[in-house]
Parts: sequence; structure tokens; C-alpha cells
Amino acid sequence: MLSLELLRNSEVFDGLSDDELAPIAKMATEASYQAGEEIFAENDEARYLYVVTEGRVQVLINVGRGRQVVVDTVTRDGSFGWSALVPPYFYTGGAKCSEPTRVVAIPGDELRALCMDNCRICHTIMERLASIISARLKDTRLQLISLMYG
Amino acid sequence: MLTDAQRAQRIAAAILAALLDAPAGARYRVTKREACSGCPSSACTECGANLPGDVFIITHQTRGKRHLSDKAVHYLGHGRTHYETGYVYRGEPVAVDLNLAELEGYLDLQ
Repeated sequence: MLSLELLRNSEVFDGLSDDELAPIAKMATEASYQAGEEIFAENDEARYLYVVTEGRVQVLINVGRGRQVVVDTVTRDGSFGWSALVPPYFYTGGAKCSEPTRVVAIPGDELRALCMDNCRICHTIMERLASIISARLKDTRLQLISLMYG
Repeated sequence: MLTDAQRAQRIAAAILAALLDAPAGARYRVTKREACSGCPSSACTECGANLPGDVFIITHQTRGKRHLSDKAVHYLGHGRTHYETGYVYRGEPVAVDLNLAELEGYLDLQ
């Protein structure tokens, strides 16, 4: 089982007790990526929620004509890939490492099943996710404004 | 020199005492979040005590927050650091091993 330490301080699981983190740690796996490596692309099927344990991940969106803009950069304890928990389960942006990166990947279907069994876990995670999505929306809006008027 | 069981009991006692009244000059405080009334409670495998699923929150001035279930605190009170969470993943029960030194750090017991 993955060390609970890797999840305890993450923005998406902050507030969960060890009892609640333990089943998540059981289903999670660690993965490493090189600088420049893509973890997933926009519109890919969203199978995993990710927590960064080391390194830096850029969240990108396509803005047409083959161009992409970075709407957020996720660092240690930050999360990306929230689409794995929210229908229709397709990533709304891509994720690419800007330096060597280690992540914890949690399968969305298993995490959703756990949420169905425990309303406190579900409430805590969904509250954090709402906060992450809200921040991402704000960052995206700023990026689009700078593209239009910058 | 305290045994691990004694250290565990000391941690549980410190948490429960701080919940009632934060020790003078302490760099931490303990609060409790009540369990969901709709969720099933569990029982201690040693004494049968009802464990509704409350969560104790230790907030330390420099270390930040640490969340512990009522089950964790209860088993620490029995001198135990290992217990089953009640969750089953792929047919196997999910257990927790608490780190005494880490918890002592949140309660300035080191």
C-alpha cells in the first residue's frame, strides 16, 4: 500500500482521516514522467485523478489552429485530472510535465465507488474538487482575457 | 522509557484532554467534527465501545492540521497502533498503522 504521507497533505484529500485515506492509498499507484512528457491529452477518457508528489505539471487547453495555452501549473500536493470524478469522464484539458515529475494516480471508477459507500469521504473530496475547479476556471478566464487583449 | 503501548495511550489521553480544554501554553488545539448521522457506526473489537465516526482535528501552530478518526484515537487508548478500518478493497481488509513519533510531534510530546 502507498504511504499515506503522499496523500495526507494533498489539496484534494486534505481533511480525510487515516481510516479514510487508507482505502484510497490501496487503490493508488505511483508513476514517473520525464520533462516534456504528456500524461494525457484534452478529450481523452478520464480514468485517473492525479496528485503531484514531485515536479511540475502544466494543464493545457486547445485554443484552435493547433495552439495550446497553459491555464495552470500544478506542483507538489496539487491535483489534476478531476474529470475522472465528474461526468462525462473526459479530460477538459491536457497535462504535460515541465520537469521530471512523480505523481500518484487514483483510478476514478474505484474512487467514485468508495464515495458511494462513504458520504464523509465523498463530501470532503467533492468540496475540495469544487475549490480546484473554481480556481482552474478563474485561471482559464484570465488566460483567455490575456489572449484576447494581451 | 515508555513502551509503544504507553506512548499510544499518552497520545490518546492528550487528544481527549485537549478537546476539553487546550493545555496552557500549548502550540496545538483539538476540535472534533461530528460523524454523519446517516452513516453506520462501528464498534471496538476489544471493548465493544460505539465508534460513530467522529473525526478529531489536531491543529498545530507549525505542523498544520492532522485528522484522526474516533477509531484511531480509541485504539490508541488501548495502546494499539494497528487496526482495521472496516473498508475492504479487492477482498482484503484495509488496515492502518499509526506512526507514534509523527503523532507525538503534533502534540508536543517528543
